[in-house]
Amino acid sequence: MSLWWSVLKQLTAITLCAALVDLMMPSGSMRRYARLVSGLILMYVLMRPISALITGNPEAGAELLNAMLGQAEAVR
Amino acid sequence: MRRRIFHMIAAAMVFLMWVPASAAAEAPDEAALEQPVTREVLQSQSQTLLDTYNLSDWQSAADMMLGEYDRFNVRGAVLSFIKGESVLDGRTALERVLNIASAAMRSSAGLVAQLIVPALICGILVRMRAAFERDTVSEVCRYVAYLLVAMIAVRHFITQLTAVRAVVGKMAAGMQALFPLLLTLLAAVGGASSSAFFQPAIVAASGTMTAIVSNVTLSLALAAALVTVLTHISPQIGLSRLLSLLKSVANWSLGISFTVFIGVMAVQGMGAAALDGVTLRTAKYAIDNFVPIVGGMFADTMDTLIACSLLVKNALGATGLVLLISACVVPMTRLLVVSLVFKFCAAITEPVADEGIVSLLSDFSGVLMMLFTVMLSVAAMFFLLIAQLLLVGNLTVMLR
Repeated sequence: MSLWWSVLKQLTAITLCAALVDLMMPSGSMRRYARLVSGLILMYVLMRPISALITGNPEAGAELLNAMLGQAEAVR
Repeated sequence: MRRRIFHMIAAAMVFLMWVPASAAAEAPDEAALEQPVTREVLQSQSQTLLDTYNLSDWQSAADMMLGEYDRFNVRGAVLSFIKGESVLDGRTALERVLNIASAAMRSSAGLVAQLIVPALICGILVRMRAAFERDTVSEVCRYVAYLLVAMIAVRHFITQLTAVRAVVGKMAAGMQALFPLLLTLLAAVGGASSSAFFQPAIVAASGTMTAIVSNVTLSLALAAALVTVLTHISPQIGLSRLLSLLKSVANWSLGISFTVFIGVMAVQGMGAAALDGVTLRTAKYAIDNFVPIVGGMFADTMDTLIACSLLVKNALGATGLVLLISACVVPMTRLLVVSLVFKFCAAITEPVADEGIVSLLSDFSGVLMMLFTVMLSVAAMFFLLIAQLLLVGNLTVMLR
């Protein structure tokens, strides 16, 4: 869950910065490279949960479900 | 000889026809006397039965679920259901929904102003682009106006999200309070094994399903709202596929858990009901035949008792349904109105304002509809749960 929120935060921050940089850039060939770089960074951020899914704990899904059920027990 | 037989048969037929006719002549008085008496007896018995149950849990659950909106008299509603009077009138219900909607519209006038003003200012500035030396200035204006509108929209979204989470929690807690009595009555009409089955099913519904919905689906909805803001911030950054991915995953998480829950309950509940019906039938047969002399009387008394319990149970269940509807009608209507307000703002600013802001507004109403779907499905789940509890009780008694 913490990975989820950190990805969202990074996504928001990087998109805002990229939009701002895109505004401030003088038009020319530099602008295209800046767009490419910001696109690559965004892609990396979006890939993070997937790589965590592949390399991480294979039981992560079951653990998440158990954590939620435990929360349900606590609520009860 | 033949003639004689014919005469005899004719006489017998006349006699047979005359007897029912005379009986029928007496019958109207008897029916007129007997039917109200039967009804009254049944109603007073049911009321006595109702008096033995403690309704304070229900009353406090009703107060908790409805909050400050209005006062709901549980006992009165149950009694009018038992008497067969109308509790929920279609016309008054519609009037109340319209009242809630108009109140919500009036209170969201400020929201309309907050959304429209930055969009309009930005639109006017962009139209006067020629007046500026450089294009960048108007672009920065657009960026700032966009961020202003997005901030207000996200703030409203978070308010609605909190409200939805609170309502889902309230409904779950309310159901936890309503179900013990319904389960007791289900056991009283002979549904021992259905009642034993429904106990964990209800815990699963109000605990696990609520946890899944408020942890997974609502988080996905929040993420979808953020990504909606990011999608339109700059035409260069394309995140619309990510947005549709998030939306589909949210819908799937809701749909799959809902389907699994309803499927398991429908199959198991019906099986338990059939088992209970057959058990009840066997018990009645056993009492009737194995207890000498008074067995038949006991079996009939048991029947009446079960009928009274069934009446009370159905009245209580119907009251629960009314409670559930009244608990979620106010937040649902508000959510719909806010979603409509976003669509309205998008529609009226489109001719002037920048395209990014307009599509942000119209997409945001879609994200708000996601919240609406969440609330609707949780309400539908509880609704179906109560309805099935009633159905299973009736099925048990019918199979008897």
